[in-house]
Formats: sequence, structure tokens, C-alpha cells
Amino acid sequence: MPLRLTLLPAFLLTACVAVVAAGADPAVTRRTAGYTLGNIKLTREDGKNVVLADELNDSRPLVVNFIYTSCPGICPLSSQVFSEVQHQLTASGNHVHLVSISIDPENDTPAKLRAYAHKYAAGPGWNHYTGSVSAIAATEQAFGVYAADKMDHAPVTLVRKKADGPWVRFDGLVTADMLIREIRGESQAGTPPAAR
Amino acid sequence: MRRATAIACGIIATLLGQVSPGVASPASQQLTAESIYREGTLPSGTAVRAKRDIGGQIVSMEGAAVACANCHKRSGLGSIEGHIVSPPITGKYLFRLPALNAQDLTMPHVATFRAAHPPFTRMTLARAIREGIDPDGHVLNNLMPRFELSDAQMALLTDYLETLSPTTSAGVDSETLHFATVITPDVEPTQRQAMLSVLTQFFADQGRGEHLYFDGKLIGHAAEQGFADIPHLNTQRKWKLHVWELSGAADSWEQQLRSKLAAQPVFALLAGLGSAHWAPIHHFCEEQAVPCLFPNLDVPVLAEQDFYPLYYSKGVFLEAGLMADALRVSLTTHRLQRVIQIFRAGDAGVPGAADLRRILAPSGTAVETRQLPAITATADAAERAATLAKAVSGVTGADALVLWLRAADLAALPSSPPPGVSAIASGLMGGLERAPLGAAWRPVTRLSYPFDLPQNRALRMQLPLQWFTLRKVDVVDERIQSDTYLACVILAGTLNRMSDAYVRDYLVETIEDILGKRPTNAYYPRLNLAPGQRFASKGGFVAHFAGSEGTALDADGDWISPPD
Repeated sequence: MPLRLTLLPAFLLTACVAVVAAGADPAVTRRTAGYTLGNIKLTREDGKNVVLADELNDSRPLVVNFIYTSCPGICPLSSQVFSEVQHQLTASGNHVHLVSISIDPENDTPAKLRAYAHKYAAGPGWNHYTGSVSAIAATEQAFGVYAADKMDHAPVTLVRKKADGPWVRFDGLVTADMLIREIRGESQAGTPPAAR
Repeated sequence: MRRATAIACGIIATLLGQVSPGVASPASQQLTAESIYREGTLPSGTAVRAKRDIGGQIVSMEGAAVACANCHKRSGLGSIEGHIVSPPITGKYLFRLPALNAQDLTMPHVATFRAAHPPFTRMTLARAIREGIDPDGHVLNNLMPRFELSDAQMALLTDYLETLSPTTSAGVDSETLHFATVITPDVEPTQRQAMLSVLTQFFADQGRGEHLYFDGKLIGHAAEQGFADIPHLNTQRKWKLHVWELSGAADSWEQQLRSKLAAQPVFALLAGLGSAHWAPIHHFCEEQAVPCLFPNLDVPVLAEQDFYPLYYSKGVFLEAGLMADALRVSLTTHRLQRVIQIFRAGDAGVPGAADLRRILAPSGTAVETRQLPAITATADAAERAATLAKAVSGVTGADALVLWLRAADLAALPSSPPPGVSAIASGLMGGLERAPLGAAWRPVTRLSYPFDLPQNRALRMQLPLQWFTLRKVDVVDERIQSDTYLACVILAGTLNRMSDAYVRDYLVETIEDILGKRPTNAYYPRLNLAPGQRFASKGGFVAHFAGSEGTALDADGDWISPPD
């Protein structure tokens, strides 16, 4: 019995760690950021090999996120938000370039990206990209979202209103209206309800 | 699970009045609470509907996109993605007092467990599922959809959660974890011995039970101290290996496996060794809900919708993709007119060649096959050489030759290849860098190489090779032994993570979760799984010999991940 008691604190500690992880506040934070992309070559969903910097050299406002097609939780939500952003901005006559970059390049072939885009009713102006393992790693590193394992990825969304403007980075489960307000230059009225 | 399904069907029939009580049609038997949970499908066959506030608009979603199992997993024990935690939602975790694990020794520890909220009642659970509000009145984040379920459907789902993953799976007792390894009768005795030498030694190492330390000193083992009955104090049970050797025709193997499982339940199948026919083992695992972890195979079963069988790679199917990539280039640049594939009846080259033909079909390339007779016990060297000479006769410099051949056949090729020919050989079948190609074949033959190249993996291989040395395991088939060792190490790491939550579904989910986080994987540059991904290594090289002799290889290009 004494031995059993000495072991208990270890288990309490384990339990506490789990609670902290569960209680981590995923509310959205917003900050401006600068990124240098270099000469990263990716493959678009139509199979065309492209230079990422050229793809992003765009007169339209840009919104970038990171997904993988077999992702069960965060990515479907993130893609739904993109779908809504595209729907609302297109309806109001604003053009935006949505860019979704796969972080599981060995699995996510252009064909899989096309099927994924179709699932979220992606229209023209919403592109999906994959590439070699090293090119995708370089992309993740360039945008400060690198995770050695795809399942460790955190939700990050990037917005750039003008080609020569700064990036705005959202960490957390961003909503469609937050992105639309950012693109339209409206102030952000707080963050969504603290999630648990 | 089958019995649970049948019971659930009865409940559905009664509650929803969609089927007359007592009449369970085959269709209704499929439409269960399990399908709400896993597939997002209602007993009526229509999709579960839910809403999600994505900002600016409440969007409707339905079906598989809102299946509970996406985030809470098939086991119900939850998941962690980034820093987003989807907690366990089995009855045990939902309805119990908010005990920390250590205060409730019957409650297995899972990393996703949240002790922060009061226990749910059936009523507050329904509110959480429909409105996204937890028992404390907190709003759940918008990853959690707000579901439209009737009272009857909610009752079905709640009953299902109460009974989901309730206890330790079969094959686990208070002191021992039972595993089996399956060997089909058509494998080489040396390969069998190679695999078993590693498994036997690894299991012997696991046999001592959990080490207990006090003030940094080893004071004994959990089992010896009488803690075997306390799950939390015996999270490293002894491993016991059962070698399941199959016999007779392949169509009897599934029944043999069912009998063996009935006689000795096991928690999972580990490693294993097969030749061209693994489908019976694959089907057995899926039907009996037994994880089948990383068998040594050339021909896996391509069925990524299945849950329990996990493979290192697509084997010869991956090689067909690598070869097609290389052939596309040479067909164009060297204006080759024909691809000639040589393989033996009944061997792994048959499905490999068929797949390469399938991949090349849209290009209009002429593909010819030359099938050699299956090797018989009486075949001698002269006969083998004559068969191979005949197979390559008539091949010209305008042909690309594809060799789906074992090492003994490669060694028996005529000493001079057809003039001007270019060949590509299955590295997997031919022995990788040790493929015994004659001196004149080496400069004109490339290898499909569905692993990292020797020079790239040398550092990573120190771990298994040093273990073999320390444990006095003779290395007779480095790849099989390394892959078997890796399967053991992955299992050990997974069990470590699972603590005492010994549930088969959770074993598979935990492997999915940790595999991509492993720093080194012997022959493989990366291993990765996800829901719907069942082949952990997804690419390879096309390589050629660097010199006129020896095992040094150079890659023709970068690592290739061929499309399906």
C-alpha cells in the first residue's frame, strides 16, 4: 500500500496535463506578420506546376489556409469558412483569391485536391496546392506554421489585402465574418465566444 | 459488435416505428445507432443533419461530414488535433463523477479526458448535442456541430455511447497482452525464421512486466508486487506471442484464423509474413475487428476504407507507380515502342504487372506480358535458365523490359541482355540493392525502390542493427527483420501512449496519431496514417547501380509519390 500511495502523484500529474490540454483556449488571436516565400514550387489542383510567389502575386485580396484532405476535424471547418467567404464576397461583387495548401502532400494528389475542392463547392478563385514533401515543408516554414506531423497542425489563416501589403495572421478557429471584415478593412469586434 | 448491432436494430424498430417490431429486415440491420455515430446516417437511411455557426451564417451540414466518429473517433475515446481536444464521449467518461483518473482506478486514462465539467445526464447530453452547451452552461466551440436529432434518435445515440468501448478488448487479461503473428504456408523458410527471430526476442524483452522504481531504484516488477489487478499500476503487461501458421489452400485460411482466434483471443496481429495471397487475413481482421499491424508483404490488399489492417506500403502496387513514372520518361525520350513485362504465375509480379498495365493504359503504350510457369519443386537450374532465355528472346532495343522476378530468376537471366534494351526490375521482389543481376545487366537495369536508399537510411538503421547485435539476432534478411523490429517498436510506443485503455479501435487510432511523430523509421523516410489512409509509406525511388559491382545505388531522381 505505501508503494501505491507513492505512485499516485504521478497519475494526478498526468491527469492535470490532460486537463490543461483540454482547457487550452482556442479563441482567435490576430496579428500582423511578414513572410518571405523564396522560390517555392508547388502543384496546383489542375496539375500545373507553379511558383507559389507568382500564384500569390495577385491584385485580389488573398486568404491562405492549410489543410489536408483526410483531416477529420479542423480542416473541414476551415474549408467551410472559406466556402462561406467565397460565397459572400462573390455575391457582393468582391473578388478574393482563396489559397488552400495541403500539409499532407504525399497523400494529397491533384486529383484528391480537386475532389476535396468540389466537396466544398470551391469556385474559380479558390485554388488548392500540393507539392513535394520538401516544398510543402518549406512553405509551412515560410509561413511559420510548420508541424513535423500533419496531425499536430494548429488552425492558422492568413490574409493579405494588397500584393504589397502586410499579412494578417489569425491563430485559432477563425470565422467567415472575421475574414470578410479583415478583407473589407473593417475593425474586428472582439473574438468569438471563448470555446472549451 | 454484431450482437450489439442486432440489439440496436431491434431498438430502432421499436422506437421509430419504421419497421414492425420483431421484423428485422437485412436492410434495417445495417441501419443502427452505430451508423449515426460512424457515418452520420439515420436509421431511416437519411443523413443526420446539423448546423454550425461559421460566422456570418449558420450553415447546414449533413451525413459523413458531421459523423461523431470524425473527431471523437470510432472508439469514442476522443482525439487531439493541434491544440483542439475532442474529449472521450463513451458513457464511462460522460456520466461519471468528475474524478481525476487516480481517484477512480477503474477508469482508463486517455489523454483527451477532461475532468473540468460535472457529469452529464441524459438531458444535459442531449442539450450539448443539440445546442452545444455543456453541463456548466458553457458554449462548446464551433467544431462541435449542433445536431438535429429527434428524442428517439437521441435515445438511440445515447444508449450507443453508454455501451461504446466499455471494457478492455479480448486478448488482454490482468497480466498479459496476447498477440498473434500469421504466417502463410507459401513463404520461404529463411524469411519465416528471420521474422520469428526478431519477434521472439522482442517479446522476451517485454516479458518482465512493468518496472517499479522507488527513489530511483528498481524495486521489482508490477506483477511480482501484486499490482496485476490494479489497471493503473500495471500498464505494461507481459506480451505473449502466438504464432499462427496457416496450412492448405488459401480459401481455408479465414476459417483457420477464426478457429485460432476462438481458441486464443488476441488483442492484435503483429507483423506476419505472406506471399501473394493476403486477402483472407485482411478480411479476417476486418470482420473480427482485430488490428493487423504491418505484415511483411509484397502484395497488400488495397482497401483503404477498411479500418483494422495497416500496411507499411502498397508493395508491388507502389512499385508499379514508380515504374510507370520512370517509363513515361524513357518511352518519350528514347522513343520506346513496347513495354514487355515478365513475371511468374502465382507470384507477386502478377498483380504488379496488371497494375502497371492499368496505369499505362491511358497513354496508349503497347504492353506485352510474358508469364513464366510457377516454380515447381522439381525445377532445376538449367530449366530455369532456359525459361528465362525464352522469356527475353525477341526483345529489342525498342522495348522496355519490366522484370517482376525473384532474386533466383534475376540470377538466371542470360548473361547478355538483348542489345540496346533498357530494363526496370522490382526491387522488392528482386532483393533491392542485393539483386543478383549479372554484370552486363547492371548498367541497363534500373530498380524500383519503395524504401529510402541505403545511404540515406544508414544512420536510422543503427537502431535496429545495434538491437540485433545486442540481442544476438542473426541478420539473415535485413529488411524483413528491420520491418518486424519496427512493427514491434511502433506497437510498444503505441501501448505506452494508450496507458491502460486497451481497446482495439483505440489501438488503431493511437497508431494513426503517433506514427507521423516518430523521429526515425528504419527503411522508411516517413510513416504517416490518417483516417482513410492505410499505407504508411507512400513513395520511393527509381535507382540504378552506382558501379559494376557492389550494392551502392544512385537515385535517378527525387523521391516519388505516385498517384493512385
